[in-house]
Amino acid sequence: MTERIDIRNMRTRTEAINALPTVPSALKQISAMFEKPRLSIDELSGFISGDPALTSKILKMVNSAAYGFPNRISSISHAIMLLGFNVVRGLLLGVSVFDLMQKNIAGLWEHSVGCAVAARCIAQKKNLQEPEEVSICGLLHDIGKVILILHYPREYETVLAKARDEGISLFEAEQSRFEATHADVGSWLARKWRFPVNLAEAIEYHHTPHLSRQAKLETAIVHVSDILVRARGIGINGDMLVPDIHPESWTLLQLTDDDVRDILAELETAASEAEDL
Amino acid sequence: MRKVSIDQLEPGMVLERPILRGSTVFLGKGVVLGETAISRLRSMEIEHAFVEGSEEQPISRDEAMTLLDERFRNKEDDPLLKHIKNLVREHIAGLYD
Ligand SMILES: [Fe+2]
Ligand SMILES: [Fe+2]
Repeated sequence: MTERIDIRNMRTRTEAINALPTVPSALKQISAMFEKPRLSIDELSGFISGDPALTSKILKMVNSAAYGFPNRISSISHAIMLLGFNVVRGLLLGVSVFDLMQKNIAGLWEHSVGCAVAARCIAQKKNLQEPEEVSICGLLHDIGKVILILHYPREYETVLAKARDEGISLFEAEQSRFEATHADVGSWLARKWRFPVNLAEAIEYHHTPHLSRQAKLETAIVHVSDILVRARGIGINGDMLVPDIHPESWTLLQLTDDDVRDILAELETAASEAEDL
Repeated sequence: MRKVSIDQLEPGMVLERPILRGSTVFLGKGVVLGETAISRLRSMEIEHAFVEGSEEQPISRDEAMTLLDERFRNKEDDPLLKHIKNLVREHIAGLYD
């Protein structure tokens, strides 16, 4: 049995994303930009607008059924105005890890978009003020998987194989090999990148929602979205099986059968669009 | 809603999502496509349109149900997951009607 990977080392190492040769330079720039104590709207919109490929990916995303705005959003500054600074920041991060997701864990992007759609749908049903922010929680909840695979490619391969061979979840397989899971790693980065606490917590506790203190509702939404997306079999995200559901999250959300039917219907539409993003 | 490639459009199909040119709507939701509209769409740089009707499923109903069972294996004891599975099963069945 090989040695487990120590948590302190892991945190220092995974946070140093700019030191990794395998990370595309665009993502390094974004990471450096997000670490700055004050990032202005102009800086963010200037950064995105300076890159036509990024701009069109983000606009495609906000104009897709996943967001469902009746009128077309035609510019990044328009998107920031309608959706908010943090949502556009989250989308920028999401589309920037898209290639890494596609390359490293087949199906993870579709899974993430599916969770974004389901999370937004649930947030709307619960009359949350910022359903788009909750959708970013869905989009980014598994970002730690990509970070782990970049930092520990060999070890993570064994984790993926273990999950596959033993029919356990990736989360459980990670626990047997590392001192921290993709949920921890994702939340470390969310904090380093100065994302709001509800995003950091939704990422950190999406497999252990009962531990969330400051963002119980968002965390429950991501937890349940993750389960519904896997139940429907959209994307793969490294393991096939539907994970255990925490009953308290389900109780907190009080979804009716009709709510679940609506979410599944929205997922159907979004899945056929996700291929185009 | 069904996603079809532009070459597969046929007169009579109804748009379920608008078709945009730049930032303006070229053809709106609910438009019934005629020959002229289709030939203009073919000259534009778009690949797909979303029209009314149900999506053609990539796998058979039986395969879809088998995969559903696989995803839920070892979860038969959890009444809540069992309930969710039933809702998903109904949903999948509905895609094949
Ligand atoms: Fe996860
Ligand atoms: Fe997930």
